[in-house]
Amino acid sequence: MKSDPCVGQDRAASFICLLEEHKDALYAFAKSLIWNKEGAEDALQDAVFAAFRAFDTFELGTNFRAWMFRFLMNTIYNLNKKTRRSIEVPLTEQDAQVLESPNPPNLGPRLLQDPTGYLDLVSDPVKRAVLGLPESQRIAFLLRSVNDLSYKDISRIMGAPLGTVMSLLSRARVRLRAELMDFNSDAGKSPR
Amino acid sequence: MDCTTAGDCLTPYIDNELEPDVKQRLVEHLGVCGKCRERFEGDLRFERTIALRFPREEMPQEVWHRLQTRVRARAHGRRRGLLLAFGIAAAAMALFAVGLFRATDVRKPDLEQAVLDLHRRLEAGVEVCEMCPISPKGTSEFLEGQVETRTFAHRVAQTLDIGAHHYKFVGVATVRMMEHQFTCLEYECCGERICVVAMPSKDMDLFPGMQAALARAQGTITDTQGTTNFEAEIIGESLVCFVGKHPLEDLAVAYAGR
Repeated sequence: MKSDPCVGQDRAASFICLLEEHKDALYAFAKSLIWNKEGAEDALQDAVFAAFRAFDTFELGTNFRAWMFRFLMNTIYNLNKKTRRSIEVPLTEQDAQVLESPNPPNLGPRLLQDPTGYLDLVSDPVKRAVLGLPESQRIAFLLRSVNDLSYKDISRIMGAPLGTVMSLLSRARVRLRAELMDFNSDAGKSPR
Repeated sequence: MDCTTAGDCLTPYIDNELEPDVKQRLVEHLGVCGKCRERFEGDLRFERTIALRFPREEMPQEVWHRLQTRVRARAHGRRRGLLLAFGIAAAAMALFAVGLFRATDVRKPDLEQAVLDLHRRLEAGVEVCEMCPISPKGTSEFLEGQVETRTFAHRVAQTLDIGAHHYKFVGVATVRMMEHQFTCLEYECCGERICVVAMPSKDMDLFPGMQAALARAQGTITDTQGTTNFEAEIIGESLVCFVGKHPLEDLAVAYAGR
């Protein structure tokens, strides 16, 4: 039987060994929810530290990817709560015209943190539509469609029953299809 | 399977979440029902279109290295009982410094090339140095996980003049001191080897012992080897170097125990 290369090392080395395989997926997920590079890196770092503190509770051989995603998602949830509380900046009419956004959540802070990134984002109809999803639908959708996690893992990560996850995914997809009908038609592709 | 059931199964099928027997029945249905097949292909195309808009982004190397460094530092921080001992040991490392670090004859690309050549030879199982075998594992860790030290390799010399001695670069080793592991560059002169340990100054705050060592690391000391000058030096913006006799671990521990 092939031995696990991450077993038998000291605690930090074992954690780093496990983390390395999933670092790109975690980074991409953080960036897909926090569109500012520094913010995403800070969130990821906080999540990694939190996971490392709790590493004694992780059972080697179980799903490290899902376990780690859960820490990252909690960190981002908390960060978003803080951001919403601490930054409330009204947009000017000019900003609103430039962005032409379908009322995306958390717009003010995001625009302030990373104006260029945000403008890039909203110029892409697909990303704009994903950004416009309610947070729980957006997270479920990104975990499934972009990060390829199973329903069961998403359920664990979000702390929600399996049925709720499936419902969130279904609603996210219905909404995205509706949003993107024009985009798909323009591209000569039917969403259905 | 009828079309209504098939419609409900399409998304879980794309998500690879269907039970094998249901999957089998759906595949059979799609094989005979053009309408459901068309819907399935539309759904699949939709999923792929969206996934392609979120390309897999790789974590930048510097972010990964920073995370590793900080996780290791935190691991060490957990062992608070050893912190004091480490502080003493780190200070001892500086106290064992053996001379003023001065880089001369700077041929930066040569040094890095030497390091990379060394790594390749070690990978190939070639014994590099009889007097001081260098562990391939240590060197791999150095090359894979210690970019700061590669930066160091760009900045320091193929040779070092310390006092009256002209040291030549001989290789790379990983040394452990207490709970910490450092990569050092080894130089040799007159049958004596020294290790140069590099550390990014931005990481200094993670190692309180090192801070203490740096604060004290200028002057003249007398140890069992006699009276020597020593220095810790910040090179450029990011590196702190101590010059000390090899092996650091034994010396540091011995000194801490005095």
